Amino acid sequence: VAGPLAPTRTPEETVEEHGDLDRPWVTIVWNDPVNLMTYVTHVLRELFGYDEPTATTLMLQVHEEGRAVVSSGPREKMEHDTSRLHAYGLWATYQQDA
Amino acid sequence: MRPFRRRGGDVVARLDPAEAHVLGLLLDQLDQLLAADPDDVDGDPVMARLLPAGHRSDPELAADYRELTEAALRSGKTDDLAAVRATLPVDGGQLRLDPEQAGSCCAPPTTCGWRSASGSGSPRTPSRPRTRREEGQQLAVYYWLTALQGSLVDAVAAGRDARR
Repeated sequence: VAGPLAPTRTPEETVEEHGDLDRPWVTIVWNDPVNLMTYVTHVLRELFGYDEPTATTLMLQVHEEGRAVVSSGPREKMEHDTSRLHAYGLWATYQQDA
Repeated sequence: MRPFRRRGGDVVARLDPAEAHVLGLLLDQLDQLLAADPDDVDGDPVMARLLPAGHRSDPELAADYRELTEAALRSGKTDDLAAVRATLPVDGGQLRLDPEQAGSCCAPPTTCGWRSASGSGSPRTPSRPRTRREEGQQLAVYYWLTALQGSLVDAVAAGRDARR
């Protein structure tokens, strides 16, 4: 999430995934040097219907910890959520929960 | 520039002629990128932002995701660009967006993508080191687009809160 001046570094952190049918899938939003904090909060409210405090908490988690789980459920739903976040220009991935 | 603010149900901004021109150029660059042969723009940093990978460490999952979503994401982003293009006053002036248009224009690449594009040139531009003057100009464009996008997001969010 961008402060006033955006660096251009790409996050290098990765999250390992192991195949296990029982574990749920999650959609993760990653910190990103371009998007404004207010924009990330706005998108989380629009897409997931989160109230302002919830969306703000998730946005701050992305900003401070580098990533946040924004939804969980079946794989197909997480694919869909990821593509909606990509349509809004956020940096998102989906994976089986660690 | 006069930043976005709510007027009735719409949001309204005013652009100088030079600002409208820069915005038009950035829209063109993004349109070219989305329309280009994927092989020609492979590895382009703006392209990686427009259509990011769905998974970071599993190539198979990332490939599945791309196959499943890329066509729709491409056409959605092209439509968003066209929506901005349709409302952009070519020689500057008032930019008025109804709530639906404002929603599409908030969504990158229409705003964020402009900003990314402003930092890395067009796909047709051969890569060469940027001069300090060019870097200064790109930074100025970046700050200006940030202010424009920030005011748009704030105006849209205020409109949503007013409806609830």
